[in-house]
Amino acid sequence: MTPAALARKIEKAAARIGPRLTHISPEDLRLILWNLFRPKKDPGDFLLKRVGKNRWAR
Amino acid sequence: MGKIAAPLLAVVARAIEKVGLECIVIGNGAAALQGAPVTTIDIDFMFRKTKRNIDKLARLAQALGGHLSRPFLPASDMYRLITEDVQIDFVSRMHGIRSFESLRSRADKIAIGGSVLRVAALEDIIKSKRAARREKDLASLPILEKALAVKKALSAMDDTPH
Repeated sequence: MTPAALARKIEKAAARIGPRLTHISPEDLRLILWNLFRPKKDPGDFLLKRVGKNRWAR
Repeated sequence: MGKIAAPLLAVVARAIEKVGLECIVIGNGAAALQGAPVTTIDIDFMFRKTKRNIDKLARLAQALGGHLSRPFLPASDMYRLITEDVQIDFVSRMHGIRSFESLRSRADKIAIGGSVLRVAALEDIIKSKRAARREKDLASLPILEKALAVKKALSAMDDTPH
């Protein structure tokens, strides 16, 4: 999926479900949708790794 | 202590499958696998505490080149597996969850590499964090509850005739 297609998919879903989810801000809604729709190359990419003093990376 | 090659979760899932340990991903790792936008530095599992499964935990530690310990004895029922790359906690009890079987009945199976991991349902993760009431659990609750609401709304949208 191209970034443009991903953005379209997020906006389409946000337009359909957003009005019902009034307790979720538009920013949070799009963040959650992006996380649900984005292609994941590594399913464990939620794990933070320490890469140095006070430095963490996914 | 051995080094685990990436992708880490696939290596862990394969090792769990290899030793035949029945366990369920819980905590923020499970929430992330269920689509919530959260991160964590460790992976938590629930398992059924039997002599046989504790032996399997020891074999798992060996397979991952890690070290298995019980860091908070005697107060805790937790087993901790430490490798250079990840810390994995195994618990046999969870706040707000009646039993391993009840958690398993609602868990999803998620393919990780060539293996399959059981992952706790987002509803159960939220229920457990609400019951635990630790500061870090309460802090992550709002985003988990929002992610659940979005997933439910998407699911309802899929069921709606277009």
